[in-house]
Amino acid sequence: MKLRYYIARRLILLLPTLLGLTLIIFTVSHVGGNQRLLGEYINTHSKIPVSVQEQQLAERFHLNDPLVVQYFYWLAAFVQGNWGYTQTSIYSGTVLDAIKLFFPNTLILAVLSSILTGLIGIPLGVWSAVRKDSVLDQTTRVVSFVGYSVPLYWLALLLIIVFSTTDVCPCLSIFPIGGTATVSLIGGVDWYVGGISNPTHVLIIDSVIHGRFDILEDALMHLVLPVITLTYGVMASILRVMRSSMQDTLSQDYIRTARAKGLDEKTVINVHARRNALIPVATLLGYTIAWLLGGVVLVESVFNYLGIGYWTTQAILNGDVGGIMGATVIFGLTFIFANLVVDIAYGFLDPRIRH
Amino acid sequence: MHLTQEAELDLEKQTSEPLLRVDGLRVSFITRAGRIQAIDDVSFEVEAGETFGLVGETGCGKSQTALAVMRLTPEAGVIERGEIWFSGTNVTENIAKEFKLIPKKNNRVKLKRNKSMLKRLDQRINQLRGKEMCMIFQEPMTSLNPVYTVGRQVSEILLRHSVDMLVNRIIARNAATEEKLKQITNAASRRELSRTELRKILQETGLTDLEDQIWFILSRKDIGATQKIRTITNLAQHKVSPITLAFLVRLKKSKSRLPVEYRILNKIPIARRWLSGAIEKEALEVSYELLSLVNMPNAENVLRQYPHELSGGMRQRVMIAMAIATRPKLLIADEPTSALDVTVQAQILELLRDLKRAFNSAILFISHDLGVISEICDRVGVMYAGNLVEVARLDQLFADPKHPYTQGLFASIPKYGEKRELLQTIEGNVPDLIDPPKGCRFRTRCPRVHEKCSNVPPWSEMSREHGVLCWLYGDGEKHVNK
Amino acid sequence: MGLRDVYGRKGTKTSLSARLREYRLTLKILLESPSSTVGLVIVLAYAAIAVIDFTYPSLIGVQNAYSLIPDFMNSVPSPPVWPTHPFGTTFPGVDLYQAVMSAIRVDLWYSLLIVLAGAAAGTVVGVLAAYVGGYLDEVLMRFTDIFLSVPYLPFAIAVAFVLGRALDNISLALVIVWWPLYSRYAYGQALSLKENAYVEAAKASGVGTWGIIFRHVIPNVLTPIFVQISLDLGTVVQIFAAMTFIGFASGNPLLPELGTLISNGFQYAVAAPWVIFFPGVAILIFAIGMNLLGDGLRDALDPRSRT
Repeated sequence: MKLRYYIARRLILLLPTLLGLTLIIFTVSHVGGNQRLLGEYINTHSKIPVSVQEQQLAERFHLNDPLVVQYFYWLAAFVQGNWGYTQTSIYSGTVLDAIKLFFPNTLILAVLSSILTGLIGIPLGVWSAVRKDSVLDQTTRVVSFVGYSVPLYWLALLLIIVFSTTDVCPCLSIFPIGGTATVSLIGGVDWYVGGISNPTHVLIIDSVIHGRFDILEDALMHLVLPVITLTYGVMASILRVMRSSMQDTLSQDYIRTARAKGLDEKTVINVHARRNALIPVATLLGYTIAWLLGGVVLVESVFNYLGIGYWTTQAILNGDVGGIMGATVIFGLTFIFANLVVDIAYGFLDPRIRH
Repeated sequence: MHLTQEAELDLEKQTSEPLLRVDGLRVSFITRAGRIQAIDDVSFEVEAGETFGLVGETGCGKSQTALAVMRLTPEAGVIERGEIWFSGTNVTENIAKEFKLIPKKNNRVKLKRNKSMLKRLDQRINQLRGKEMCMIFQEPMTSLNPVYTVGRQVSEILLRHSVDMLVNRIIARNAATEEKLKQITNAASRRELSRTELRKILQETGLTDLEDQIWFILSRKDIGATQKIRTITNLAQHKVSPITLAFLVRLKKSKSRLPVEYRILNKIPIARRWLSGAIEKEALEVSYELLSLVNMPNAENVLRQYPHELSGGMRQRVMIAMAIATRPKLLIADEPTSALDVTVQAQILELLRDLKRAFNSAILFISHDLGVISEICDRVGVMYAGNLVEVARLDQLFADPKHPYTQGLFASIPKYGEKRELLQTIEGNVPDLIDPPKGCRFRTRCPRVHEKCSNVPPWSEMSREHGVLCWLYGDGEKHVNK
Repeated sequence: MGLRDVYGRKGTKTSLSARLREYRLTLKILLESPSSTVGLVIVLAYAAIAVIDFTYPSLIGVQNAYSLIPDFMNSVPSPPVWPTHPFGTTFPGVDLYQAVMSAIRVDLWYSLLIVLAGAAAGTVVGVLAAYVGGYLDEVLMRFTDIFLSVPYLPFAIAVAFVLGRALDNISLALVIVWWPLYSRYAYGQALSLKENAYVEAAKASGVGTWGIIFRHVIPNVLTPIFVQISLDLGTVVQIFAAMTFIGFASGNPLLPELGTLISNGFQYAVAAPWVIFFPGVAILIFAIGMNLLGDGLRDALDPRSRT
């Protein structure tokens, strides 16, 4: 089957998955949200007695209707972008605005970590398998083993301790992005308004667009430690799978055929082996991305990095339902789309899947 | 055709030196369980153009012998001793320096390889592998890379070894004009052209490099005569851009594979299209011709398909196409038909016979099936438990098998019209190769065993082409190699 | 002579002595590898600590196994001092050594519960879906897929949040997040086993569907599931501690738990690194041990190494 049809099929299958996600969110928010929701809106100073207010609110929010009907009202509001309100110590407002504020930062963090993982992890996994039992291989195995055994937030804390005590690199940030030294930098800038930068909401890109390279440098420095932590965690599993998959691939018959054709070893590894070895890695990518999204929560909260993860932890501490729901929504959506990309990449890698 | 005297002398020289000579080969496998002596002192020769069969049971070492010739022995295996000469080159030079066996406790041995030597060796063997000697494997299902199209995999071997052939074809086609091609088409329409006649005409018009392509068109069975003529005339239309042509001419003149400045240009995607794109397209053309040669139905579509879309027989044809792409002098076929059903088996054997006739390649044919061997081989070697126990011409072997094992094999074939209660078998089991019997490895099962057999038997020549490894036919002379 | 007579009442389940032999062989292969042995030792050590902490806490110097003992007079963390505070103290004046020892027990207990519950639920669902097939298969697997379409940590957070901040609720949330993985895994295993001859044999001898599932399919799916469990245990401990770290601490802030300890010491981390170092190392070593053991078990149970 052509790659196009495969992609189209995947996109169509997206709809039921999205629907499933909304179902879950709806269920969870309703189990947790109703009473609190009412509590938000009740005006204790009004002349109308509380019970009547409750009734009115129940009418307004369709709380007395059967669950299915409620779902549809909720879904309608959801699709229109009304995702509720959040009220935490770092931000209060609509959930959608909060997401617009925080998500780009998380995206940068996740994307950078993923790129680094791919650039380092895959070649390292390949070499490690090819030079089996060499010093490189043994070191890689130990390093990656520690990597997926270590609690990520603890590692982050360690890094903070190390870098703050020795002053090797003043690039940690126990302060929100921008840092104390640079709030002054950012505060005086008109395209960084109300916490949201223009036009892309991503500080790194916007600073370049506006020509403020000092802000760019500052933002990048603040990214270093979080990215390192997250990358190390993700790379550990990728390395392990890549290595074992490469080993399996190298023992396959078609590698022997490739050698019999007189191809040099470099070609055999890079052209024939690597692409096949990447297939099991791609299957696992979905799981890895799930892990990545979870790791983001931990890393951001330790580094006080203003992203979705940080917002989530604040919402938990503040008991903010809207925040949690919003976070779940955005995580769910990201995950689904990330999986879509992975599926497509998988179809590209392995022609057998397309049939 | 008349051979000149020089050519006659050349031929004679060629026939005295065998194409492949294996001498005293010993291959072992180092495993956790111990050291498996898979091949123990095997020697034989294959002449140019002949089909030599290696027959034996599973585990007798015949596949490993073939793999050793190609230097494709698996990771845990090592060629301990012996020499393999191919076309005058010693493929196993300095073999002792390649590895070290370090004895450890528990009778175990650890294998250490000399990595730098291996690298040099790889480079050397890669000149031969795929070019002068090619191999067809037993399992067509898993022997093709699942993520690349058939066309790409077949072209790959051409792009590696036959770039000059491809370049010449393109240049010749660009030099072809309609008038020159008219000469051919006129001659072809008047009568059936033979290959040599075609060659003569091409020599006159200076288009010798197009011989393969035009011959292919002429011998196609799926299009009519007028269509053929039209296709040949249309060849003049298939031209490449001047830049490409200049590059190709330059390429032809230079010695290395790609001149330096073009190597850089080759890395840029767009420039690459101009330069190497033409060669790759030509390779696909040739792949198409090769696939047609192996009787692949619907060859044009198959080029674009992936291996998993083909049946076993088709995949094996692809493997054969890859193997003959460079007109190798030696074709090694490792049980090419064992994984296929009987009708396809017959077709593949027929195909191999035709190809051998067309290209005059030698074939080293491995099988456990005496029936298949009898269909295609000129000479046969019988292997048992890592030893070559008998070598003979096909008719000699079938008429007068000397070694007790061979005799047992033939006796166990059920014969049509014969009435028996039990099938005739050879008593006992194949010995464990970690600790094989000392001396003759067959003595634990041999019906004619005697005391001498605890020593390694000598190789005796019964006639010029018939040799046996058995005490029954000789005394303790030294091994004679043939 | 029916198949029941041939195979006995227990169907094709192997006899007790045969199974014991298999276990001994597994142990032997396991012990051959140094890394697996180290893993086994670590895991056993942790298990020992947990048990002792539960029964005779004073044996390892723990005064109160169920609660941290604050000392508000000296609430600021102090560095390690032998022999009174071998790990130092953390906020608010709690002896870190005792805290970690008890916390190990708590974490191990909850993690074990979570993994076993998730594995049990997931395995049954997966095997059911695979064996029965058809409509039930589709429904169950789609159901599983919906759960798998949400990334686990945020989902666990959402569920735990809704249920309320308590350790038991975190556990429940994690079980809900975890079982789909086992469901998928068991499904795949069961599918391949379904075609096996002994299932046909059991069916032919008249064993009912549930009987086949519980007496034949599940026991044979258990081996790879068991390996998966041992690998997961290390991960779950980490995730559990992560969730408590984020702030799902139970209503009782004095409950010894590794993640809570780290979050308690968070503010003092830079000035007093031991405060987070020891709890973290405790998690790390357990995860390493469990992973080594899990890897070793997987290699040992691989039929290729058993010849």
